[in-house]
Amino acid sequence: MKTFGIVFGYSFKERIRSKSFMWMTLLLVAIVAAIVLIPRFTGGQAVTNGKVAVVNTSGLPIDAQGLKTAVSPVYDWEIVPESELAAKTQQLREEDLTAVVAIAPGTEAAPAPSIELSVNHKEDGSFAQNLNAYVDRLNVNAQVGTLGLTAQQSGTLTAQPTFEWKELNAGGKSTAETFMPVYALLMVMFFMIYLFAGNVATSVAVEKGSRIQEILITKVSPGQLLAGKVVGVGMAGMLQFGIVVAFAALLMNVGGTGEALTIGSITFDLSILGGQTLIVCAILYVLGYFFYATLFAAAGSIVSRSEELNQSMMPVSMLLMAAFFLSMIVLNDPNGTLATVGSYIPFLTPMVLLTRVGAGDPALMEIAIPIAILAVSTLIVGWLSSKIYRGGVLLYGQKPSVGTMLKMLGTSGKKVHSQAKPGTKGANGAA
Amino acid sequence: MTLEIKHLGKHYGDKKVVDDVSLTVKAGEAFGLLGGNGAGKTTTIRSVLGLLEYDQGEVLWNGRPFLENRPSIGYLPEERGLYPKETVSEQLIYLARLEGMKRGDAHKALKTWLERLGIAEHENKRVEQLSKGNQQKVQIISALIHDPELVILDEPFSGLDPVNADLLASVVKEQIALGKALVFSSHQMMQVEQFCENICILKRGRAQIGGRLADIKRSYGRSNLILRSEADLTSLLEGRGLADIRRDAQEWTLKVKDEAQAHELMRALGQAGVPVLKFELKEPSLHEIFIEKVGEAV
Repeated sequence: MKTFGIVFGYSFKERIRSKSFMWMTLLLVAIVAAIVLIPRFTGGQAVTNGKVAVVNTSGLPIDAQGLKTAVSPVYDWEIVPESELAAKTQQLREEDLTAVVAIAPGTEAAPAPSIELSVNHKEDGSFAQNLNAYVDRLNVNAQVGTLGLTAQQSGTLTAQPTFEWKELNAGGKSTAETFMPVYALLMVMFFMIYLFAGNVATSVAVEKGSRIQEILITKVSPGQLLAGKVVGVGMAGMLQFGIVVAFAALLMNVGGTGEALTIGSITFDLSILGGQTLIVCAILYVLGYFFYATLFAAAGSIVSRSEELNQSMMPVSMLLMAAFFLSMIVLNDPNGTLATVGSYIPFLTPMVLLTRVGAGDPALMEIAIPIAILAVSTLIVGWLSSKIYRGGVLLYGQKPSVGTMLKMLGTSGKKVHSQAKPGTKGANGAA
Repeated sequence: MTLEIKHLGKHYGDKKVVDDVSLTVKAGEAFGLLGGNGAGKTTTIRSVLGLLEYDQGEVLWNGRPFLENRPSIGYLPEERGLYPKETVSEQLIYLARLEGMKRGDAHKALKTWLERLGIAEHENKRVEQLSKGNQQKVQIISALIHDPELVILDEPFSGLDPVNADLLASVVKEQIALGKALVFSSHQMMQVEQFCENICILKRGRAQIGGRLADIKRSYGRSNLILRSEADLTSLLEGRGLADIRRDAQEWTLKVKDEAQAHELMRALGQAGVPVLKFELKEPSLHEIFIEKVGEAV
């Protein structure tokens, strides 16, 4: 255990003192600052979809506030006089505006007001239906006013139907609400595993490339070396993650609003997911990291020079990417067969199960069993990786491939000599 | 403290890279493991250290299986290995701590070694900033800092200039005097002759010759004769059954069958009245023995 501690300490320190660690932390902090601060600099307001100029000659009481409330909150509405219509249309052509609306009074032949909506592309006029309903209601109200009805009569005529959503959540949570937070958690998980576990591969490849491995392995068992490195680099990653999260929390509290982060019309609120999901998420982050970090370490140990690292990391990266893309697909159907089956396959479990737990509605056993399978698989992968590592350490000049890895498994394990000294024997379990 | 290798064998596929090699290294002694490129020296060393698995034989330390009863080892591999981006002190202390040293003790030992090898000013430099010779010194410290019982040095003199080679020679002698068991692998026969009491010459994985260097040399007999004279000896040396007669600027070197033949030649030179400035009868050098044993394979 003592040697493990020394390897752990060295790997951790080596990692956090490296230039790449510092730059990556600064970059992540800058990205977080941009996400949190940019909406504030634009007037505490979410970024809008654009400006719409409205020319109203219909005589109906249309104003910018009404349009914002009743038609669409994500556009900036501007009422302009008729004389500016040509100028505004020109601005639209120059793409300084998103849309120009001209509302004219009805004619004898067509008594209802006419609405002319000019856009550069049809998708810019997504508010058309709401606009139509709004103008229609104002027009009905105006017409009712001319009929000389009693207040009660006109009230009855213009009354709006009451409308109430009832969300029963049968078949799981609302996908629309959970999509963003789960998507974000998946993205963060993907990059964390790829970066930190990738660092383990780099660190192993550097030791291999500089040939110090041959000395280390006379001092420490490969299992302890691997475990110390994986945990050390992992803890450095946790520290980096912690710094970024703490910075984000600090920034968001500086404004004192305590509101959920909003980007455009998308609200990012982890609390939608609930504490249970976040606990499962933390477990999956840790297990996922260990699973992939040990695999990446094995990939790192079969290269002769660090230049070959990308090539040997490829198969493991592919697994990780497959897991990421599959989890994106099942995010739309988190209770489907693909999601359920996928969550039991160890290399997919971290991300697919996270999607299921976050967006779907799995039973407790459907969470516990995949996690148990992943934990056991991580131990097996750790054991196999330490064998590949032991064999790969002295292997130079061979092309890094899955075949090489399998060969290492075949040659390194038959007669396992313990490298540990008498005092430390038995402590060579890999992560 | 004794390292024993008994009938060690290792093959890759059909190719035997180490074949029935046996040797014994005692405390306070340097053992010379010699051989041409690909003779099996490094494979033997790696098998001893447990970096490779061997197929036959056994390796013992004080009569017990080596890997169950490991001494502390100071290993200088043939291919040098250090962290290029880390500082000298950082990595040497790390390596010493992995051998069970406390941080403080490791630091003290580091200071002493850096002073000893004259690179104290490089303590906090990154290894990649050092010259090749200084990197080699750091590598040597990495092998010796933790005061190991068994020292294995694979080509320790490569990359060192004559001054530093002498410095290292004094370190090696000191290690022998401290009672370390030392395995020394080198192509430089002069150094091996300087340190090693026992040797083993490997060729294609098999021991060609082994034992005490003095005994080996004696078994070859004193057959090398060196003569120096200002006169031309050619006519006197011819027709006597002497072999390999060579003449350089001042000296003749030749081979005699035995000492009697050499004495006969001396008498003949005396009778001819030729002034002889030097008449030396020598054992073959290790270099010659090596060439003879490994010869065509090198």
